[in-house]
Amino acid sequence: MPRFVLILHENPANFADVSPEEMQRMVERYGAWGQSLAQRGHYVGGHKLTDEGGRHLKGAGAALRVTDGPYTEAKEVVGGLFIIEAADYDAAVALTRDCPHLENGWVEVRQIDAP
Amino acid sequence: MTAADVAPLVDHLFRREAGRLVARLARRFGVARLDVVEDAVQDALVQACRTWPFAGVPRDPAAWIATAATNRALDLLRTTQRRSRLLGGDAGAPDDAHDPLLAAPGAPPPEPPDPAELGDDELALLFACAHPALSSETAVILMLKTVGGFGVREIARGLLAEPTAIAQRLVRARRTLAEQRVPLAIPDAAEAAPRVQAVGEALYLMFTEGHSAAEADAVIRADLCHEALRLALAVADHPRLGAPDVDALVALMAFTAARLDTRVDDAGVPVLLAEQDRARWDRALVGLGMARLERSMRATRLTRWHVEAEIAAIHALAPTFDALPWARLVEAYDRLLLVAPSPVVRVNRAVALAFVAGPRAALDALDEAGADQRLARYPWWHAARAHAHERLGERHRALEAWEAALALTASEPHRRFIVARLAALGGGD
Repeated sequence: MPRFVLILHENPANFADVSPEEMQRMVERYGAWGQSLAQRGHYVGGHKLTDEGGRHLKGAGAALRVTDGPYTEAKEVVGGLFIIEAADYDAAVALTRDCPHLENGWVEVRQIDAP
Repeated sequence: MTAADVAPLVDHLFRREAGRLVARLARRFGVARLDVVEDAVQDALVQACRTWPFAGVPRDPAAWIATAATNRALDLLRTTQRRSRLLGGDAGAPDDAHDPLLAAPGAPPPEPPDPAELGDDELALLFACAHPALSSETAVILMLKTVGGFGVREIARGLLAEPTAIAQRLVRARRTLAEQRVPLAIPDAAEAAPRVQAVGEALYLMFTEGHSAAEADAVIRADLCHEALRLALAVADHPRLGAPDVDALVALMAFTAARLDTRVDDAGVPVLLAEQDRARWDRALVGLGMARLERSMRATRLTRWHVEAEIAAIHALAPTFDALPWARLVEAYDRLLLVAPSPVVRVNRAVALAFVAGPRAALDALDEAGADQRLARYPWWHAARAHAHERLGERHRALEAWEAALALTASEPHRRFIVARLAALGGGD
């Protein structure tokens, strides 16, 4: 079955105003969403990325430049990713529409190219 | 997040743990660092919210959050120390190794097993919020944010204010606490009585705010009422601070909270007391009210909370609206006027009087109360007069009074109610 990556985009500053109660509801909705995916055999894995901007490498050989990626001043960073199995894009989108990340950011769905 | 069983989180766990941790860390690091402590706790919850979806909910969520919050607080405080040393060039300042506050945490003190109960740290913070240097309104906001674990936007919705205004008041309140060096401690016997009174007044105000208008955001308003009740219970049950008038306050809140679900229908329109479905009143809360009302009788002094609790009890215990002992209610309002005279109490008394002595007597009482100019801006005075005029068949005067009430009403559900009354009378537009 084809695999899809769910790339979670978010604005780091967005959580500043969220209340404890709202955060708990988000955790609970993640639990429900994740369990639902796992029970139906669609969940493959998920990884949170560490909270910093990473490194940007540009240029080859002598022209290589390495810079720190922006984080706190960035409007948008990738916070993590999930890998799911679905029949096709429509199916992948249907599984993703309840993803709680959508309450605080946006999700990019990309199919993994496999022979 | 795997297919493994994820135990459901206890209701309001994050909110309660936020309150508990802010209280504990504030007591440890000092009231002057309250803002840093609040940030640390918020950051810990954000960490949980962003990590648990991937790693799963830990077996002991509260402990995980506590550790994260403590570590984060230490980080933030070390940074602040380092920065002020760099900027101030203070060669004599102690470094981390010597600052006892920043030493490694060690085992946290044991917490009460029931997450709904307040520990001593939280009570200490509660009393600090009601410090004489802060107004009751500010105390409410600070209590909700620190001990209550509410967010700024939630508080703003509950109090019908702007979030920026709430945030500003919090900044000023924290600064006041720091400047006054308010101790985070449960008041000793010598000053307990006035301090308990101050906390009680703030909690009464918190409850009133939650109860006042049946606005669209019914959930947060109910949360305010329940939080006020929870905090009042904690004070009432404290072996040293508990007193009969706090029991009266708890009783008053419990009886009133029992009716919360039935005050507004599904469309958000207020339901008259006469039409509320009494079967849906919360029996457990009525029971709590009864138990605390009885305990409050130990008092040697009658307070306004006692009388208000009695009035609330009369309402809660009447099997039907028609069975209400209105003469007893009028008499209770008479007593309330003795301990806490106010034009609003006179209005409530007049409404009860209508059932005993008829609408004309009620109107006379309302007009007498109206000598206090403040009532001209109080929509319920006009509404009570409108009701009385209606019952007397004085349609024109009733319309005028309803129009006056409408002009003073900002609450959307109440506006809808009055517009419906106007339409029923064949007036209005």
